[in-house]
Amino acid sequence: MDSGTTALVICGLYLLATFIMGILPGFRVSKSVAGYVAADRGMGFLVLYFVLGASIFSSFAFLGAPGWAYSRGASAFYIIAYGVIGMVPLYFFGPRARRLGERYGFVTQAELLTHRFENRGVSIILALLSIGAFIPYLTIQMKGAGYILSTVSGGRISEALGAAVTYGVVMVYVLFSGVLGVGWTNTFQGAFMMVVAWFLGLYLPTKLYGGVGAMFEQLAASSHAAMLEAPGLLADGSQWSWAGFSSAVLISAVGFSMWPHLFMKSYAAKSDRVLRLTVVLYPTFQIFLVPILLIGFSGVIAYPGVEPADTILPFLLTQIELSPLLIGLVCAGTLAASMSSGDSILHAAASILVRDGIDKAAPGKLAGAREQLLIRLFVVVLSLVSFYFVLVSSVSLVDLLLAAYGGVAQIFPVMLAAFYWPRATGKGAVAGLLAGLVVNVLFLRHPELKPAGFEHVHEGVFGLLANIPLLVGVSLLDRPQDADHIREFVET
Amino acid sequence: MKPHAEEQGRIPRGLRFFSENVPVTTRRRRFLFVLVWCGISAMMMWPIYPLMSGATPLVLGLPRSLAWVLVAMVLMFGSLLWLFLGDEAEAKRREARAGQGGSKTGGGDDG
Repeated sequence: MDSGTTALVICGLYLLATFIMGILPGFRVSKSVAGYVAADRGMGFLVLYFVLGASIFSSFAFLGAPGWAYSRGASAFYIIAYGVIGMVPLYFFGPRARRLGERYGFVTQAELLTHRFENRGVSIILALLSIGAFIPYLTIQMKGAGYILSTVSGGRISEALGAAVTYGVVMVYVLFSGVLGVGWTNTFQGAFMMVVAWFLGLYLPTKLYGGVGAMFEQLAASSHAAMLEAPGLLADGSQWSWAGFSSAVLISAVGFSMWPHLFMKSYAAKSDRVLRLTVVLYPTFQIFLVPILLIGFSGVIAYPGVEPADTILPFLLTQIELSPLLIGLVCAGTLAASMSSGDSILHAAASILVRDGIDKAAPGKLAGAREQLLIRLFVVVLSLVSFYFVLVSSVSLVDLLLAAYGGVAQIFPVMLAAFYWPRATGKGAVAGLLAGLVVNVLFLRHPELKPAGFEHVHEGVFGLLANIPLLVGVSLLDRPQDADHIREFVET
Repeated sequence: MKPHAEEQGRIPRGLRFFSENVPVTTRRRRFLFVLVWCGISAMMMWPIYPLMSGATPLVLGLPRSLAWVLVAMVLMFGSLLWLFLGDEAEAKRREARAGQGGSKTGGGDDG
């Protein structure tokens, strides 16, 4: 068996193992919507820890992040920086959301906000935003999986076929087991990719330079020294500005805990304690970005000029003399990263589309069993739509995803107001959200319109500057909501 | 759906971070934590991060710019742990006083 085939067989075995892990919990969970979407609100610490951790570390972690370190140096530290501070709001919001979810049967983020603000508009805006953000996200995960399988097979498996096989597996276990399928596979996959990342992140610098310290010493003494200085470089090799770096950290941190597929895992937690402990221990998961960045840095001196930079990890794998077994395991780790985010997104997107979109647009039409059937139907539809984009996509997908980051950050002030500002009203929330989203997209599409001197500031910041005053102003002009209704939210 | 006009006077205009039954010690701990959180956030942005943004000297074999972010991570972990342990201790005290905890019951929305 040649080395490509060995690696491919390992990837195949890995997919099979994931498939079995994903199917098993489906026999345990109740047949209700709360079972399918929120694991009957009984998820324990270990599974929640890996679900939150592994959902965040997507194929970007294995392909994009080393690429950033390789081509943009210290810019990549921004990925660690926003994660450090971005999970914290969930410590405060999460338990409140969980308790309200238990009381009212919420399973999505928008359900909570719609109930608080007594306004269906919030729900429909969030459903549209979520779908707009999730489809490019999912497409990128599929492409990552397809890319790895195509590389490891030496092109014998096309990118499209690789994506189809991997996401065929994901689709089946998401369909069958819902969020518990996501949970169990993510525990398995999260642990697997952590091991792979630490192994490669320490092995490559040692093999190529004699150690991590030796690698950075050589880099600091070389012509590449400037890339190690924060805020690092832009994709074109010029210096990134502090305004750009700082505002990117800020907006990503603000949006981090607001990603609907993460936020809604609050409802799955067994208790407040489990949820809080998960947030507290999140940095122990996050630290695995360090070896990931080391992989990228290890290519800078040894293999300059690799294009595109995102291919640095597969490129290194083909250059160093690693046993086919290990290459197979590393590729399986990348598949793990892709699948463990993709499954969570797919599951969340279908749930949100049905619960927040269709249910709200045509209230009272869907009973439990039909609703669950519809969510499953949308799991298939969304997989096919994303797969269609894998086949026809262009770079504009990345643009869409970037727009989504700034867009998701716009949920933050509304969520903050829902819990901590009793005077906030539905009209205020809708006005703030809409203004934030419009301004964000406007400046993303037309950066030349940004005010002079603030060209490098992330467009999400401008979105927030439109969002917050409108949320406050329109709420104050509007009539207050019922005090008893509000009390449940601010005093939960 | 319609807001009740007679409720207007009862809704506070300002922010309300805690319900009335939250003890002062919890309020202080959380307030302090939020301050620390803002401080750690500031560490990784302009104008503080530029003070530590150089590549050298290497700290434990890593560029200073990366080591600084990792220091922020460790500080964040430490302060989260401090907050969590404080909250836990307080929950235990409250449970001991009340003689019962906040046990959960299974949810379900579609019968």
